[in-house]
Amino acid sequence: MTAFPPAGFPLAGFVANALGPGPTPELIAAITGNGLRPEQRLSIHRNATRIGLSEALAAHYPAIQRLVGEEFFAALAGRFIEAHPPRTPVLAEWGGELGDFLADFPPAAGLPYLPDVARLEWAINEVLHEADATPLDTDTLGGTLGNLAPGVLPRVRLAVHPAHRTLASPWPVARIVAANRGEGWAERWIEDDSATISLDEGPDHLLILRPEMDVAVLPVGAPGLALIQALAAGMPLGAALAEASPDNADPARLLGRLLGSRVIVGVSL
Amino acid sequence: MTTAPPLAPRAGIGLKSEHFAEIAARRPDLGFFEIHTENAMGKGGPYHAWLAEIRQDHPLSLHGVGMSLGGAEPPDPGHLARTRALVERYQPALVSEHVALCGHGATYLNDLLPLPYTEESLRRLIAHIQRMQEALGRPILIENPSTYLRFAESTLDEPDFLVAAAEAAGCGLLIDVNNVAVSATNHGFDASAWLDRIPPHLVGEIHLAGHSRKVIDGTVIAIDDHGSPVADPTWALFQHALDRFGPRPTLIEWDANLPPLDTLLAEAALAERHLAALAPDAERIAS
Amino acid sequence: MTHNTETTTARALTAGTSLAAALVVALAMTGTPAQAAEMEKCYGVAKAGKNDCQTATSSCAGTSKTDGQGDAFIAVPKGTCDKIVGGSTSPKM
Repeated sequence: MTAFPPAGFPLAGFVANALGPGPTPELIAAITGNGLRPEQRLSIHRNATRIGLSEALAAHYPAIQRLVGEEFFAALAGRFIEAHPPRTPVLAEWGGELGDFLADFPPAAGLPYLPDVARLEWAINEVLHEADATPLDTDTLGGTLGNLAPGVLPRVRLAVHPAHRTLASPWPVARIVAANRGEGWAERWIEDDSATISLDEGPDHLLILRPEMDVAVLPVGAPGLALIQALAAGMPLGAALAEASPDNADPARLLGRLLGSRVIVGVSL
Repeated sequence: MTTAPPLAPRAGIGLKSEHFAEIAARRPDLGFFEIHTENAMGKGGPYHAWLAEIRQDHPLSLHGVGMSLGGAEPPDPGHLARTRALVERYQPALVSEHVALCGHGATYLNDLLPLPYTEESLRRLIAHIQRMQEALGRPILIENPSTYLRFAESTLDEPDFLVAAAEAAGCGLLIDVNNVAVSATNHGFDASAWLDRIPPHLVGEIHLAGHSRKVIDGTVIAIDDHGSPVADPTWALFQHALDRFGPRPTLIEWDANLPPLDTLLAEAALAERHLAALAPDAERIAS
Repeated sequence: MTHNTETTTARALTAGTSLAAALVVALAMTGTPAQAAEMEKCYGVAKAGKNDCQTATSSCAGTSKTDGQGDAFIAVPKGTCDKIVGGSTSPKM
């Protein structure tokens, strides 16, 4: 089989042009101008690609865009696109590295909470598209566990909802996101524009969960977060509780919150 | 395995998430809905919940934007598998893709880049269409692109390239009349003459959309932005296409500046008036 | 806390007696107004069932907008971030 593209056709450069700094001489030579300069024709694709990706990033990160403003966000998106071009044709799955990118992005250094805000928005995006499952309600779950012999109880494994993520942050990121994500979000926590948020309100330990079709961001505390993470890692209930609360501070409260959170979708031994 | 359309030759619209609730409630009388395949590739969530509900009442067309059939590499096995899973789940009446490349190496672009129209490029496209059809277990339609540039090395012109690909791969053609109009503006060819070189029996679907115009250094460039009503010259070209091809399922595409659902339904109704005005011509439809 | 306490606790929970007791208390707690209030304290719920939220969608359309090339980082953040105040910019954990 002969090589494709044919010798002399700079395919890689064609693709790079759409994302990066501009066309190479080889690429310009491969294109017929027909009344325009080849660069002008190439710029139509470059423009469509960059604007499309920038809009996709804004759709994933509306709170980030609102926090930094459109001009800064556009510049940020331009840099991000060059550093993290899509590896997937599914736009909903592109852009997850923005949190890490922001952590190492000097122009945003004055807003140290921004990376975690981005991580929370990405978690919201991910759970939105994750697999569906039916959460066990408190009565069903409590009844199932209550019917087990005490000796069996610690060995039971609780399946955690696939549409969940966890996030711990030193900053009050949930409130920052709720106040900045705009219409359709945060009925209870929507803030008026004059509201200020103090960074001293942190830290946050968050469960991001889509039990059915709505996404909720729930503050679960450090032990609650550790419990869900331990269960999701496959630990049996007894060990997971011990891991989450080594000093056994209040296992009943921890368990009670878990039972009520709709994050458990199955019980097995 | 060419395309006796399994779908009635009626008008459909692109299904947008902004309209999910209204469509599910109103169940508008349309021939079909079309989605971009990649937008349904999540595992679950609201998109699938709405789509499953709307699919109960309406035929569906899956229109891919990311298979990169014109790319250097064969279609990605993972992407083929995800597409197949959607085909099995939603049983679409039509499955289509673009004659374009969407990336190179590990990089995908959210854009449809044109191919050089060469024999080498044609052979590769045919092999990739066949790979996709084998993976899906059914024939697909391939869509003519809207293009803004041409390659010096191209040796085939576009209708010949598309027809040769469809005939060799055993697929059908999705003729985007707006794309023909856009490319005709951008390269200075006769759009009607372009359509006249497409054999009617290959055509399984028609697309219609609006485009915008930019003037760059005194040259008018049409941009296929799907952000406005179908332009009058495009309706005339649609009529020309129908006169030649016979009635075909016809999609109204509108992606940017999305209007209220009623605006899309009015565009679809206009397309249906064109379709209904065609004299029944069994011979032509069967051709 | 010492390693011994941790081991003891883990043993107790593993043995099941204290876990069973905790479960009884937990079940008694669920459904109480106090816990309901606690669960209500969620930060965000996307409005209305099956809300599609904001999500990026693939399209086959081009764009008539123009990429501003707004780079050079003359750009400074100037959105709502000035509504976020804090005595310290170092994290508390």
